Amino acid sequence: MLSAWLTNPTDFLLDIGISLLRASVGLALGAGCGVLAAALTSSHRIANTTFGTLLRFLRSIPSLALVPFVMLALGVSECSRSVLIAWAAFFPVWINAHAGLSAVDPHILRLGSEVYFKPTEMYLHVRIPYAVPFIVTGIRVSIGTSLVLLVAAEMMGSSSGIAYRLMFYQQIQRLDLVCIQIALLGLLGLLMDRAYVHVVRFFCPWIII
Amino acid sequence: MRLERVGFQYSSQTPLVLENVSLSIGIDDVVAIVGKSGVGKSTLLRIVARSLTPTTGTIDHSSRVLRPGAIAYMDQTSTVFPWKKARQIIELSLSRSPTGTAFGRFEVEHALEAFGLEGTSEQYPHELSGGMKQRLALAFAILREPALLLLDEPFGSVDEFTRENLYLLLQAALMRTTMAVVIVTHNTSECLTLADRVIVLSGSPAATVSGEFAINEPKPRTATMLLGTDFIALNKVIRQKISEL
Repeated sequence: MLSAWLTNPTDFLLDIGISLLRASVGLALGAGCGVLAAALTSSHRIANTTFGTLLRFLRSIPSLALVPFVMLALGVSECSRSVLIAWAAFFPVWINAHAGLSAVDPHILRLGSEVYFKPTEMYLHVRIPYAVPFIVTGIRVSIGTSLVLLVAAEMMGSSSGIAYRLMFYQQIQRLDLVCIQIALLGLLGLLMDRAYVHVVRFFCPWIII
Repeated sequence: MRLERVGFQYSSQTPLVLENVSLSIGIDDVVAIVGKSGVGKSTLLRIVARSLTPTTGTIDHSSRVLRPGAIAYMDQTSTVFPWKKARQIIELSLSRSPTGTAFGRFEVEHALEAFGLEGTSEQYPHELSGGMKQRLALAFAILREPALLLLDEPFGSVDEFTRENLYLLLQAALMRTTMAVVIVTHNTSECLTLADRVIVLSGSPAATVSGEFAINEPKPRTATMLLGTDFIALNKVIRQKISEL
């Protein structure tokens, strides 16, 4: 394993960098859309029953089943990979953000009304901050789910990334290098999770994570 | 404000919770409502807070309690905004004071000190002890000078010494400002320490006012003062009244 690393360290680092970039872009896209969708579905009962039901239907489709569809619809490109990863990241964030925005602790809402926050202030200073820990949890779950789709996306028509290299080493029957790639995927998930925890602790020190 | 023959039931299928409750609260009265668990004390407090509408009877609110932010409510959960630092919570409360007095860093630090929270300005609520959280919640409720402060068993979750300290803080704060206070409690010592009047709520299935006692002893009252013969006698009478029905 060490010899494989020593013979071609650039490829290893490049694969990690590319996979990390793809996962991060997809995660950011999915998480952003998840929060926006939650803002919509938690805003009104009608939005929740219509748009929310549609999202619940889409969520019940196994995300791996979408890989052929996205590859055909958008072509084999970075765009299609980002969409697939974003899709996987979207649902955990949406579900958690929806829960946080629509079930604010009545005690906290009462405090907001006692200091006569206007509706906009109530949303910005009470509802959104209250939902932040939920969103944070959703994104943390998404890190794991997005890696599943990252692997699927890189195995289909990609020429770089950890999962592409994993497939390549499987074809040339190098079990040792396959093991290294699997370990790298685990390491990537761990690094993303640790980095995320540090970012959250820095920007939201009031959240216990 | 005045409640006249107020009755309440949560729905037409459920029994009456309160019946013929009449009481008046002056602009600087400290009124304690005592009674057994489940008798309807908190329901009455929520009616006073205008969170519930009485099924029968009337409530006359003074114009003082109808202005925005005139009512502050605190319970034993000591909930404050978890995402704000102690300093920001105090600033928010001071900014909502009807007197509109300008405040700066000095006033905020002074307010924190007055509530025994010196050195906590940059701390979040989850970093504070249970007693400190209660003090912060109390400061948030009082500093914005509401016309009516409603306390629902506010000190039930803290230890005896912290509670006595909170009693003194509350009494000191009430001496500095004019506000009516209604405290719901099942602790007779608490009402004897803080209240000017004690109202006993009892009855089954619907509760009503079964006794009213005035406490004319000077304030601030300490735990030692409660050991005096007058307080002991009054405590005994109130306890008897609560367990009577």
